[in-house]
Amino acid sequence: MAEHEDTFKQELVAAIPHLRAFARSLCNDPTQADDLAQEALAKAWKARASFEPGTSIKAWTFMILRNQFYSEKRRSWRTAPLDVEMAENTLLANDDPTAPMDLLELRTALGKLPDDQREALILVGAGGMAYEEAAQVCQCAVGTIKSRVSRARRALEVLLSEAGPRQANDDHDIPAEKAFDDILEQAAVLAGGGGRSRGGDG
Amino acid sequence: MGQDHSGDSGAKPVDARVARRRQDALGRRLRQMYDDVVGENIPDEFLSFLEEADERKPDQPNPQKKNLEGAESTESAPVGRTVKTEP
Repeated sequence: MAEHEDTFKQELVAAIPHLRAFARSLCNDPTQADDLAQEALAKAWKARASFEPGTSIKAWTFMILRNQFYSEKRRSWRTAPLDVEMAENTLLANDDPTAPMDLLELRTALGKLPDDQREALILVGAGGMAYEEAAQVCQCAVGTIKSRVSRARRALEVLLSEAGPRQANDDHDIPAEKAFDDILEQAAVLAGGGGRSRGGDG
Repeated sequence: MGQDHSGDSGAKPVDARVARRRQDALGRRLRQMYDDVVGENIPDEFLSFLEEADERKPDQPNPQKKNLEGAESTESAPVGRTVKTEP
């Protein structure tokens, strides 16, 4: 028994960074996100007897966190809209000078997606979960996750191409195509691709 | 720039190559957003919580556990069970 618990605990500890990342993606405020992740951790620990060894502890703890998130969201205090300035400050802590606004945009766009699409995309697209595992987290069918992910991707693409790279609200004169290309370019630089210059077709 | 699509309808169809390029970029941003947090140091509260939880054992009242603090190994106390408790 003690051995089981040790193993469980080690797995739980290993899941913490992912719990934090999932929480951060769900609620934009880092402090709230950590509160949420800690609550989920506490619940997971209390419920450890119900965990089946050999199954994915990540999926299991994510499910707990997700349930926690929505039950509290229903109580409403976590629905505070994204505070852009705060998010910006948080993101500026990032190493890469081109990353902050870009990620802020992504977060803003994510925030506009319906909950079910957002979480599916976060789990699969950001967290790299298998569809099956994500389905377990969201307690729905695998096919449902697949279609949510693909709808979310399309919606995000549209949102980001509308957003523009900087202060999109004020700069409507930036054509959507160019705006998206800017994002692409930044992404290419970040990915270490050496920053393929834009407009290769022209 | 040679491209002058009017950006008035966001949902306009794009050719498959462009769409894939966009989705690749999107995927990278998403993973970056997530991985940035995964790569952060875990705040102390998380680990200390588990250490405390380990000592409390709320749903498994175990009076022997207390002995770990004061008297050392009176009986075969489940020492091996603790992962990272401080001495």
